[in-house]
Amino acid sequence: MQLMLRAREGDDAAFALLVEAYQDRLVGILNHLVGDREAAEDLAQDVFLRIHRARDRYDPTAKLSTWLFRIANNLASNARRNRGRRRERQLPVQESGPMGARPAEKLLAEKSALMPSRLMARHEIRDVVRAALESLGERQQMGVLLHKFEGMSYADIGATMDLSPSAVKSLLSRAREKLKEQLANYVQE
Amino acid sequence: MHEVNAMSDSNGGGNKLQSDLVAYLDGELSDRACMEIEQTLAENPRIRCEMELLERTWELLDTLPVSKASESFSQRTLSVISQSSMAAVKDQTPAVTTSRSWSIDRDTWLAAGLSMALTLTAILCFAVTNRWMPTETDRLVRDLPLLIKLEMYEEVSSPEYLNTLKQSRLFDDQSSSVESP
Repeated sequence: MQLMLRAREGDDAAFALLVEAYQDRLVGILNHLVGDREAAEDLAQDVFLRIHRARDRYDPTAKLSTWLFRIANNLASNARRNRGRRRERQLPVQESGPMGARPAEKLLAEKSALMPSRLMARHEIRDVVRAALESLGERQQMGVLLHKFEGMSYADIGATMDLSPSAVKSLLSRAREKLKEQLANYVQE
Repeated sequence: MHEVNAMSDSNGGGNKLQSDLVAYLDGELSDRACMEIEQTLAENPRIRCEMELLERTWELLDTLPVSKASESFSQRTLSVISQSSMAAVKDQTPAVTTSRSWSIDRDTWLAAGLSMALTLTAILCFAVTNRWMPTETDRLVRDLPLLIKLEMYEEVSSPEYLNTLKQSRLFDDQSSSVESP
């Protein structure tokens, strides 16, 4: 917050430190959301650009991380929507849905059917977990990522996603229930 | 107290227990709600199993790779921000000039108005003082008759003597030209 206050006063060095401090966290979350590191870096760059442009309007009573991830959430949401539109134009309709099964979903189904968890290599489990995460709705994914990797409280997640804490509680409950179902074969002994 | 078989139901009670279990794991429940959940867990192995599944599922997310920004990310980002700031300043320059020129014009008009007001005030003051305040010339004009005969009055030196002469009417034919001081 101190860095942002200094940046607000025109201290460019402070803003550079702020970028250093948040870049990995931001790129990490965005990479999970959009599934592409290059796209995640582009979005993260856009987040910092917007923060810099709006630094005069920064309200010190709000958490910087909340503000930052709020912008990231909006940008990722727009990016995924645009990507969805492009896919809709490019991909032919298949039997499993209007857009066909996503590769991650296919992977999840195949691995779930063929292999018990103890035989799977770690990177294979990782692919299945990633597929399960991608099977969640956009808001559920964001809520899970903010809670799991940013350690945000329900109140902070709510501030980031424009939700009440009770709505976040419900959102995360549904998300975790869905993950449990998707990964049931990999958590049981 | 939560019902034992609520988890299998799709009704509101099951959802409530489900969300309370998740909130319990997330450390988001009040002390009282925590105690209720703990009591339920102690009494119901099925709920306990459910919670363990949720917990282990959550731990599976740790297998996801944590990606970091590339080495050049901050440099590229700061460069983009710098270019963007310069472009923004450039865009704002005409607006600044206009604003500045308007400021100059306003100052000029203010100075001109003030000068004009001062000039008018000076003219008014001159007119007033010239009309009502007596000058040295006015006093000289007023005292001119006395000045013309000043030498004669000084030779006489006594006003009583002049009054005596006037009463005697000795110089009546010249009295119109002689005035007492």
